[in-house]
Amino acid sequence: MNRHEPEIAMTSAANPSNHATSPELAHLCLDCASFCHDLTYTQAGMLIDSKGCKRAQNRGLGFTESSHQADFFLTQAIQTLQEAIRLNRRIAFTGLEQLSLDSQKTALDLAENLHAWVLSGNGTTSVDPWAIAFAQKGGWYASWTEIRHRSDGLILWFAPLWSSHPRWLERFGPKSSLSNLLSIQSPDEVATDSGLTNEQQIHIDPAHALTFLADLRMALKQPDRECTDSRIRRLQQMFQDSHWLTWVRSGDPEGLIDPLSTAESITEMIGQSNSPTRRVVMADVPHSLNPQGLKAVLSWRSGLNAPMWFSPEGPVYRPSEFSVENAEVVVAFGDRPQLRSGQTALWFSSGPATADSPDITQIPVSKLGFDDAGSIIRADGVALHVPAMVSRHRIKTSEFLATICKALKSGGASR
Amino acid sequence: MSHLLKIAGGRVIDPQHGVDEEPRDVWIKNGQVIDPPTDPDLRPDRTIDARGYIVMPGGVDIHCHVAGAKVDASRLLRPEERRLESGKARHEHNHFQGGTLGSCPSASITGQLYSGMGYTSVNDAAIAPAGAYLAHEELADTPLVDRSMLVLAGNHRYMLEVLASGEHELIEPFVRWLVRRSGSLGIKVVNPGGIEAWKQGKGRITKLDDPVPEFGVTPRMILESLCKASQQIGLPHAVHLHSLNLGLPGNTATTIETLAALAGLPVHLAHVQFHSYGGNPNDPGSLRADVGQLVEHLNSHPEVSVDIGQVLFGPTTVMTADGATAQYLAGLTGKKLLADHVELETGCGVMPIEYKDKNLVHAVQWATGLEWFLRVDNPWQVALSTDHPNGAAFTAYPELMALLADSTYRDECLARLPEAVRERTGLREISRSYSLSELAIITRAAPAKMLGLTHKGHLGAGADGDVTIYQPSDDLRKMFAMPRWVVKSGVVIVDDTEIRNLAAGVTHRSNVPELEPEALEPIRRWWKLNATSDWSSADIGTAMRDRLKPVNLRGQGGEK
Repeated sequence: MNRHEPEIAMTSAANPSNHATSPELAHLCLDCASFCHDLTYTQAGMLIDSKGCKRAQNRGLGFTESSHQADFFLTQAIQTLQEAIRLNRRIAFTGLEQLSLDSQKTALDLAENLHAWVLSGNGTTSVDPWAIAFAQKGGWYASWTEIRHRSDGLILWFAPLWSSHPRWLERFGPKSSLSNLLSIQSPDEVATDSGLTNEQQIHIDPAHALTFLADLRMALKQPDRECTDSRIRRLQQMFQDSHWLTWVRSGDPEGLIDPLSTAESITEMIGQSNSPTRRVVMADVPHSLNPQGLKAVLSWRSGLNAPMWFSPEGPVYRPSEFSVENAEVVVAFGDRPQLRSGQTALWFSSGPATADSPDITQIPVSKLGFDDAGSIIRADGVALHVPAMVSRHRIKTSEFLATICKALKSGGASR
Repeated sequence: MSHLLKIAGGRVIDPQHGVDEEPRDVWIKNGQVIDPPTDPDLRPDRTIDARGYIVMPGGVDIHCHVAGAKVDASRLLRPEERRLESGKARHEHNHFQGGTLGSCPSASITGQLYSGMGYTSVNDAAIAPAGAYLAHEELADTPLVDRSMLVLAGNHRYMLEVLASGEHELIEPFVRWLVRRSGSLGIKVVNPGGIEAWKQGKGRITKLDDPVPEFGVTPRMILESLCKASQQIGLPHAVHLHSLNLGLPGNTATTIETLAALAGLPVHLAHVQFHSYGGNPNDPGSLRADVGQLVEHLNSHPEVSVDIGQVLFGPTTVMTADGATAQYLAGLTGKKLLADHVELETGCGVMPIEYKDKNLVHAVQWATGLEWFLRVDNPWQVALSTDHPNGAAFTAYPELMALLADSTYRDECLARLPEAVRERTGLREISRSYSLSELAIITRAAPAKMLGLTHKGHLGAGADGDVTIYQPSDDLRKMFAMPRWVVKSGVVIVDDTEIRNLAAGVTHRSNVPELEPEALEPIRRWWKLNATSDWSSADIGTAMRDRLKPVNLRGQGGEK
């Protein structure tokens, strides 16, 4: 079979022959960005031992059944994109963070050929404040194994990992002890099953986070100055007591005022807290599968961050213009795209069929780690290989995109 | 289908075969140089009329940073570089990807710029083990040149534990595992033990016998064991060393001590310019060149080679695994800094810098590098580098070649620098000019030989069909910046100064065999206890390894 031809037959269940003799096996869990490799499954993808994780799921459940074969979707996709080229429509790619490195590369090939925009996430937020803070101030980081081995203090910044990444602290938290941990969280954050004591929880209204940070930075700069806020004192003490401190973030909380200034303030504070004999680093624990992979591929393909445009004159970064709102055709991966009137979408999804609008063509693709293999980059830069658990004949995203690309080029339909 | 190319009548410079501007034909069949055919009726598919032109093997860059997490991060750290330029669009006919320029161009542009000035092989000198897979993916997207990488060693926790427990016999299998699993050509040692101390947040290690905190092993122990292991395995390239105290005044003493400790062992000193300073370590402004003793050592030790890491004036990006040095430099300059503590082995520091000709320290660095080039007796021990992008972007090589080959031009440049440079360096006393043949040695023949790439850097039968054809000119910068033709693996990629054809290139790796299970077991056991990723992720994987082209170890039929 031609490697670039999508496999055509789609079945609705894992091959039963895989159940029969299947001993349990450890497999990389992709249900959160901790990527635990010690959970066990049957060879058919059924979870046996979740190591107590509440997020781990059965890998193979809930995929799309379709009476159509891959050729049908290929024709649909090519027609949609050819039409978009003919009418000179603005095309936006979203959700590339959910793809393996291979698929990201192929998706960017296609985006470059189509002179499309590449947006971050679902494309509704145009600017990543942390990317801008990085470009303005730099940053101090550490890989998660380094944090595990070296850190003696941990501050969670609006990062309720106990629910979003249930085993992150167990796997990457300081090896010695988790007692030296403080969690800054919204007042309404339910942390009853977090294992944290009341003393370890610091409540801040996200709307006041920037002011709070300013106070904290003042306290760190002038440690002898009296501070009446006990929350600041606890954090100040943590900075003083720790030789190797980690500041963990995991997306911005809802209600945060001025995310860019907040990101810059934290980045600057961490940078200034470092000396030749003291370490303070930041760890970003993301909510998507492979944002680090996308950053890397986009950097070497374009030199830029998302949101960007593969314009006919070369790559362009102009975040105020590039958003899903301003696009006419959306090529979406992962989450279902939210379309406004007049937009059409190709939606690559490994989940159940939910596209109920004629404007959305849902293309049922294989699921990474279940019936598709690939590599991803953990948020701290460590490459991980994700094998497939079962062999099934569903569309592989990377191959499908490559076929589209080839078809558009050979038909002279590239822009 | 076979393809036969004839480059006819050029003034061929092939130092490995003692050929110096002799009118000759070069024949390339199926991507490899062949002896001139004996059949007079044989007609090539294409003939390049190179009469009057200079013909050299394709350039080989032994030390640059063009791939991996540090380069990817540097582009995102420095959007200001891209604000001043327009990007390059995808080429609709030859399918090159577009991209952006700056001191760290995007991958496709990197390949295009290198090949556009006659370089056909590049070696990324510092890839973290955990980032090897990603770096290979990026290198695969860097067209028109062959690639290779060196994997970082010298601060790996496993190695430090093994040395601390006295199990020295485990170092050699560790190096074999590291090189094989990363698909690299050899190892790069950066600030041995010093990065671990920095990562602990326990300051700098400045002496060869300072113990690494928590482990008690010394940089001397690390270096000796790694150099011996590399030699024992027969890695194609000697240990590529960035020693202690990079960039600090007075560091020549450390460099001399390091060379003495490794006497008799093959070693390659990377960006040696940055390790050749006199002055007071506590006074950055006291920097002066201190090259003499080091050059004498090199002249009497053929087992040692160097690349220079020349500084050239202009804006660029500092990029190093030596986090301690980056932190120090950021403290001096107040520039934004990316500092990273990289998984299990290394550190990382990235920051902007601008070398200014009116800045005495920068001017001394410029002159120190040139002094190195011009004082070494045997050019076969020297490779041209700017430690791209650290001293300057690789696109500045033509300028550097002109400075070496034209003493008048060099003197003019020196005269524009602060007066004190003439007292702090010995450059003004040197009138030597490199010949074209010597330039061919330091840009092609020597680096290929040092890397163990026996099929590169020369034009003998069996060599890769990588050839650069220059139009002679008094303006050497122009001549070296814009060859008339460049041939890569027998394909004419630069035709009449324009890049016209795509040649994908290959990535080389050392042909290190798989470790025996019993030798692998201690590493696997350690990994399970200490790493946070699964064992399979410790390896680039068979599929990736199979995409790389193996290079023989010394003794496997490669360079002895």
